[in-house]
Amino acid sequence: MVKNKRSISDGSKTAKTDVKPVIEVKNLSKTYGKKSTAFKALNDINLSIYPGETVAIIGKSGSGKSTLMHLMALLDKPTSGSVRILGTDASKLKGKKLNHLRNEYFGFVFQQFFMNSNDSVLENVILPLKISGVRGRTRKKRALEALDIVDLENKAKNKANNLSGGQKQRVCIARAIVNNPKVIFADEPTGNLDSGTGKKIIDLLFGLNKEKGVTLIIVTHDEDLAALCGRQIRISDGELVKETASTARTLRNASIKEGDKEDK
Amino acid sequence: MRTRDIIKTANTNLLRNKVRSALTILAIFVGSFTIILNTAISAGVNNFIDKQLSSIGGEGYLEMTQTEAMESMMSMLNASNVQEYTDDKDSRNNSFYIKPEQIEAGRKIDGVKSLEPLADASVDYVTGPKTSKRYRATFNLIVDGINLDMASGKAPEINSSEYQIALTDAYAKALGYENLDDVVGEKITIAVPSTLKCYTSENRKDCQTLLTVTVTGVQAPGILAISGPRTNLTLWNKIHEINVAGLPASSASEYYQAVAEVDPDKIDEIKEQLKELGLTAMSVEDEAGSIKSFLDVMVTVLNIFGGIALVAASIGIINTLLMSVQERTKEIGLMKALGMSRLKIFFSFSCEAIALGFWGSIFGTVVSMIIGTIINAVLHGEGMILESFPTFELVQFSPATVIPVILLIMFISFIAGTAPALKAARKDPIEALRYE
Ligand SMILES: Nc1ncnc2c1ncn2[C@@H]1O[C@H](COP(=O)(O)OP(=O)(O)OP(=O)(O)O)[C@@H](O)[C@H]1O
Ligand SMILES: [Mg+2]
Repeated sequence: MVKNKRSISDGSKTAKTDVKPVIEVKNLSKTYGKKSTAFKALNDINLSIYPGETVAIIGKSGSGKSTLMHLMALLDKPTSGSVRILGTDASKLKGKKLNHLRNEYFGFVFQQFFMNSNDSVLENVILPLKISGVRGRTRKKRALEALDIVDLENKAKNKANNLSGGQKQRVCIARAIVNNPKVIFADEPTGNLDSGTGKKIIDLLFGLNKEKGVTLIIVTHDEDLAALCGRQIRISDGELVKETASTARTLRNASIKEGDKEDK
Repeated sequence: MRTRDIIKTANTNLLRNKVRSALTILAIFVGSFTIILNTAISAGVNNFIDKQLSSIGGEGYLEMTQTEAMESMMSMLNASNVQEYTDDKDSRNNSFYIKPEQIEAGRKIDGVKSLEPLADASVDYVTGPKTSKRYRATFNLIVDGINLDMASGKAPEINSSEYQIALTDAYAKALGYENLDDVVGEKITIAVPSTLKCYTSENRKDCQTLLTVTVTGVQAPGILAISGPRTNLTLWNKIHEINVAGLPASSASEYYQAVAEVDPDKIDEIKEQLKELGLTAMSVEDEAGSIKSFLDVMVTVLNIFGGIALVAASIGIINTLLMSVQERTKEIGLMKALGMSRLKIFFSFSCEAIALGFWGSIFGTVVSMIIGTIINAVLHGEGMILESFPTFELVQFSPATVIPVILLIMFISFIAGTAPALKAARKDPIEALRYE
């Protein structure tokens, strides 16, 4: 069922049916707390995401979107069920491999930013490069390039805490893309932005998808943003209620500038 | 993450909480200061003692007395000990003297280069051309192989045909020579009594022989018991000869002491064998030993205080780091989410602990060096105890003593930091990210 839907998704590279999913979720459940306070945040979720796809996870507040994203990004462990990354069971990924995945294969934009507020903007963007062991000058250059992309090069030296909400969100996006990840998880990437800046960020993310084949997993409650994605996964009270695919028409109507022209 | 980055980050993090880090460093400082200063003092004193040892005849020099003499002296002190007299030779009190058989046997011991009985030599007084006063004196003999530490001039030549003497600072000054160099080559006078003659003389003067002696130099001050003017063998023998003039040969050759030059490597076995011969031998080190062991006790006690301060400081380190881990829960979670390994997170917190230890001990070193220099200067000042020991630095620093202490303190800090660092390394990224 999923495979059929995928064939009409936007990424041209994913059209072949023999391609392994980047992320495959099977019977995934997550329960928070124990016994009396136990709360089932996710219940028996199944889905596959293929390389180059753009997937929106939508749902009301508290429906379990962030929980699902954290599980898929291997930041958290499921109560039951499995997450497979490129065919490998995530529970078997340990130490070095897991860290490598988090550092170089995944890029994260967290809902609450998670920045080191006392460090400079540049330091924050450099962090993933520092962790992966990139040397001083190169990493500074790359971080500045990433900041340039989100239009914040002039704020590089500022203390991260002194930025506006939207600026912080853009710093987080710069941090997410700085290590050239293959998969970007973005939790409400436009949540704090005005429509103009929001559109810029969306264009940026979709541009990465078009040009580099980066897989996008975007958590949002914004229907318009969701409609731009190749696929929408609707979550309600921890259950996957509906999976839809945008038709070529909806995609075109949504007018992703360059990406759209290329498509024709 | 590169090691360099981790170390840099650790220092940056310490600077973030300047007051807290400074207080922790202060606690480490107290411990390290105590230990480093203490080590430096013990190094200084030990060095000084060693230098003294090599000046008074060095390693291969043994002085011996009749063991029985010591024992009977002890038993005489014990009033309840009454011994029966026999006609046996050993029953007589002259068994205090070292017997010629013992000397002979001692010379045959493997490793003994020479063993000579030491005649007594006593003088009544010394005086000089620049003073009318006469001063009482007890002389010592220079021994072959001795390296006298001289403050001016040179040591007497043991077998010179001249009567030679090396004075001490105090005698040179008493005889009217303020400048120690002026006394070199001067002729002084000593008065030597003849024991037998003095029994019958009404006037002490009548039994004294005056000798003219050349001063070859002044000895540098020493803290060991054996210090006083030292004569060469020629003069010593002459004094003895005058002392015993007219006495029957048997009593003229009664010796309380003997000295030996031995192979320093075999000194312990030689002492053991001499003991079997009935001779108690003491090396210069044995004499210095009591001073050293007192010093060791003192150093140990002070080091225990330093150690206690360090234990308290370690608790400070643990506390500081636990607070740091708590405060930076989010940061740790982020680093983990971005792929930083447990080991490196552990290492980065350990680095902070080590850095605290490093700065604390560096600070301790610097301050103890400053205070040590002040102590040295003060003690060498006028009227202070070290005024007459210009070459003796009480507080002596050397990389060989300071660096191990610094490394030890860094190691202790590392140990103290392991628990907080482990706590940080074990944090779950998602829990940590949610932490507000
Ligand atoms: N650590 C936790 N302990 C207990 N309950 C939790 C925990 N984390 C999340 N939850 C609960 O799980 C449910 C899903 O949370 P989640 O953060 O995934 O929601 P969301 O869909 O991202 O909502 P939003 O759009 O507001 O961000 C919520 O009801 C939340 O209260
Ligand atoms: Mg959320």
